[in-house]
Amino acid sequence: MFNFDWLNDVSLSGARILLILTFLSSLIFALLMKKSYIFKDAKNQRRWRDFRYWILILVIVQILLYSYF
Amino acid sequence: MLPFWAIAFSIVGSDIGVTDFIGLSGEAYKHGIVAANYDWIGSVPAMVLAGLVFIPYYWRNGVYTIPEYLGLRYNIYVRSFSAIIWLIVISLNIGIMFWIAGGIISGLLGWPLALSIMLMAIIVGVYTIFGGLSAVVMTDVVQVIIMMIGSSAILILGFIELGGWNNMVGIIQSRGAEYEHHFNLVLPMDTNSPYPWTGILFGLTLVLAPAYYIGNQNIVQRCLGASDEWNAKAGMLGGAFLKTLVPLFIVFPGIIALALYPGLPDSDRTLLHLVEHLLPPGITGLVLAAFIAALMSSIDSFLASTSTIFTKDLYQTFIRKHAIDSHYLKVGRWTTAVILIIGMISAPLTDYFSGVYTYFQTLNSFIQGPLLAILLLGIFWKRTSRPAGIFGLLGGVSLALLMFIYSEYLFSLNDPYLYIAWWSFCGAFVITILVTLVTKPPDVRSMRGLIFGLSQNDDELQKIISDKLGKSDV
Repeated sequence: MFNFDWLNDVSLSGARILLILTFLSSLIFALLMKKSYIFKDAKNQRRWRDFRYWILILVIVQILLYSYF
Repeated sequence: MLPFWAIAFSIVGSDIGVTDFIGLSGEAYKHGIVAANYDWIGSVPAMVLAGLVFIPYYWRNGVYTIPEYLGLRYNIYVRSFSAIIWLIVISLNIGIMFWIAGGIISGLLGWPLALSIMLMAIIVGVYTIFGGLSAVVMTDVVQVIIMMIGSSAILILGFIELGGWNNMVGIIQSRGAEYEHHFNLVLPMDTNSPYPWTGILFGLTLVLAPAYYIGNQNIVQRCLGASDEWNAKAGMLGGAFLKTLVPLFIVFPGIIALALYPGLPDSDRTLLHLVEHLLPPGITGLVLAAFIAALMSSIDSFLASTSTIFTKDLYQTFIRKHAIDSHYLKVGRWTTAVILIIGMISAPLTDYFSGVYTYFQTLNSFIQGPLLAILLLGIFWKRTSRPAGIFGLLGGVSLALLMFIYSEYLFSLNDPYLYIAWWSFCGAFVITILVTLVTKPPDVRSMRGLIFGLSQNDDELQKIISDKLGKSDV
């Protein structure tokens, strides 16, 4: 049990997909946030300051890294 | 009041110390690019979660320190027990730093290791106890920048020497089957390294990383120094961008070293070997001086925090409540001396582990899982009772220690700290819930500002905090 034996059947490609899904769930979580929450109390609300775009870029970079290596 | 970019640099500057430069490059030398998981999947999702949920929560509830929060949400025993385990862990961490510093001095001057460690302890002890922290001239950030310049030089000179990335991959993979996974981030469950994908996902991504970015006072405090809530969130998310680059400076040099200098007897000397053999003499001296200065700076910051933890959370709480400041100052100095001695004596323990980073993460695995479990239950479940916190924490830490002691019977890995982190988190989580269910529910009125749902919907509390923040901005 302690060695996660029940996951023995998951292939390395499956494991890679699981790790990539972790990044995707961060992205989905961020995209579900309302704009009012992102900019709470912020006076400057220009588009580049919207964290959802930041996280989109961050997650794309990570997915590329985990797909390549 | 800091802008987001300064917070981002500060988070990464405080996160990557000499233990990371030395330890993680050694891990990359032994196990390959899988060591980059610490900075990628072992940081980015947790930093997104911290930036979007926890930092705003801490921010909108007024400024708490994490130990203070645990003390208020549960009871004084949780705060005191977490103080004791932090004291032990920090003392052992100081031992690791003495071991690294002693190794550098011993390698440079040819002195015996024990003598080098003692010399280091005496120097740091004298200026910390009698000279104070102002004796440290260089800041952590400057030291990290010098180390990064050194690592960048290693990266450039290393690739020139090897003829590029493809040649490096070819050289390493031609060495045989044991290097076939050296360029894979995802390793099979039967790997010889401490990094099977199950450990990376469950132990690192779901426990150690969130515990660090949500529950580590050093990190959280930096975000709470922001000028407003947006900058606090942006500081954490900006830090995630910088973390994506960190393996370039720490992990890749380890892989370059494997291609250039195979068969090094001690992987923890990987980066130092590169510094000594690949860099021009002037830069070598500068980088080694930065390493030693950064180690001394980290040791004296640790000493300062241990002396504060002992004096404030234990001595002042349980032994002598109302004494004059000079008395507490004297107690703090004695604490520093005792911690230094413990650090010096415990330094050789590092040699019992397969590397400094393994020892460092093993220590983390004993406490991070249980602390994260009680922190999450305390924040998100208003039913969590006050006595449940101490049972969860004690139970989780005991479970982690037992799993470590009996690891050869329980785990297939030689260094199962990622698995220990996960299972001790689960154990603490279950124990806290079970104790909660058989004990009296807390009075919700006494939990004002301590529970996520309650404080977000408490208009009066939000107004008080907004007013407070508004005034402090002026």
